Amino acid sequence: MNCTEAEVYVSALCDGQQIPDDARAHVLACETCHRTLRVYAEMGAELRLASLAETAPLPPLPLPHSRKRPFWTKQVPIPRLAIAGLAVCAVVLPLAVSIAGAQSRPLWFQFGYTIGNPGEPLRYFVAKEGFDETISGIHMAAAGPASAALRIKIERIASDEVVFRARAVPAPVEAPDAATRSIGSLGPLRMDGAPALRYRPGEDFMIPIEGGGAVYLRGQVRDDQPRIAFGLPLIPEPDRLSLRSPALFAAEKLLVQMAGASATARSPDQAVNLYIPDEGHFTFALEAFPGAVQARAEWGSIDFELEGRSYRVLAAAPVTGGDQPRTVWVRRDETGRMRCSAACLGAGPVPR
Amino acid sequence: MSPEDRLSESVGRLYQEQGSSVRRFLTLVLGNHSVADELTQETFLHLWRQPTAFDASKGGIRNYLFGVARKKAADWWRRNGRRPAVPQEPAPPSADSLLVRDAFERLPAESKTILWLREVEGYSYDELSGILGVPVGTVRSRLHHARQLLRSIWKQEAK
Repeated sequence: MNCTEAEVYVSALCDGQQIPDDARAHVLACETCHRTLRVYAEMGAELRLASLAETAPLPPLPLPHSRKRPFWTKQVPIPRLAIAGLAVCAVVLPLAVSIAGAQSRPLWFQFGYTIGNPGEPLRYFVAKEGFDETISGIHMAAAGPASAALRIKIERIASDEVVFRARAVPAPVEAPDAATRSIGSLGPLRMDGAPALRYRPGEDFMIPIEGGGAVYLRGQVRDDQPRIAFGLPLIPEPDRLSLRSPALFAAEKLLVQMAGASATARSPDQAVNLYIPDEGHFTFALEAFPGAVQARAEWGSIDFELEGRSYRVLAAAPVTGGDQPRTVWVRRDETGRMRCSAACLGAGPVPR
Repeated sequence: MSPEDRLSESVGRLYQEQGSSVRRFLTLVLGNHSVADELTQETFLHLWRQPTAFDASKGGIRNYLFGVARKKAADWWRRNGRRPAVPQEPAPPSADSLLVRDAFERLPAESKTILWLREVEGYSYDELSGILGVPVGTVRSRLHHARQLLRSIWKQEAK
């Protein structure tokens, strides 16, 4: 082995590493290689000596101070299974709650009835399961006024079916109380043996009146409580005009107040008529008609001007539905006189 | 005492024990005292921030610290070029060591690193292999090359 071949092993020998025997023999015997070994050792010693010169004090280590966390912000280990469970709960729980809520929410039955012929009820009632009342009324039929009393007991309300028991009897056409038109002398009806009846919402359901005739019931099931005012939906349909317990002012002076009185125009070709002795006949309609002026209706009020005089109607419920305010039409006839000695409120066709 | 406080105390103690060695290494490799101080602190802060990065099965904590210091020195060289930005300060008292140190500072960073870790810090070939991330054979050849180069420069300086 010569010096060139042995050169690579000198460094390893300097570090005390195992090297081939012939390389070791050469390095120890060869003066040149031996000198290189000594130089390497000397360089290492000089480096170690140089390192001792580094005596400057160590600068302080700027370790960030740990913050004392309140116990409610400290991190705690949570198993992944628990996290997965929470995620499932976050999805399933609101769903289950909404389903349970929908199932447990009571349904409402809004119904009314007519006497003699099926049609749109003049008055509506609102019932929940357990409703049990005797109701009565006078309906104007072709043959004259008809009156019947109906006891109705609601046993079950579902979205597609209402189960109830009912009994209808003729009631004397009497009006002991003109304001309420109730027939109080009849008293409660007994329901012994009345069968359970099944009603499909939206249909007309005939209930025979004992002794002849029939009552026709019509209603619908709702999941929110119907708002009824004076027997009609609180906010009328946009094609209806209704005055319920109206008061009429002229130039801020009260002309009439009709507490409890109500009249509804059930279609645009119908009008509501208000007669006030010494003042005349006021006709209100949703469509223009001869001699009528525009009026501004907004929820429970109607404002208009006639012959330089400002009028205002204040009603106990919205006058009409749809976007407010709305235009309605009104006409005053001083000449027309009615038979009633007091103020009258009613509905009839729009005058042409 | 919270786990965070215990960690701070352990790293602080380690800094007192090993900080000087790491700083000496970085000073010789970088040739700049202030940068060496800064990188020494960064080396220990690295341990404080990521204590789980240290794997005891791969070597002692000292090996790990020198490995981190070497990487930080290499990053610094990469960002700041091949020469230190600040002029060298006066070196040790001995004339020979002065020359060896002058020659040493002219070595490439790679040679300085391996020579310092071997000669001053006394790491074995196996340990150097772990710190530098190279095979033992490469450690042997790099040391041979570094010594040859240092000797060559030293002799020229001596003349």
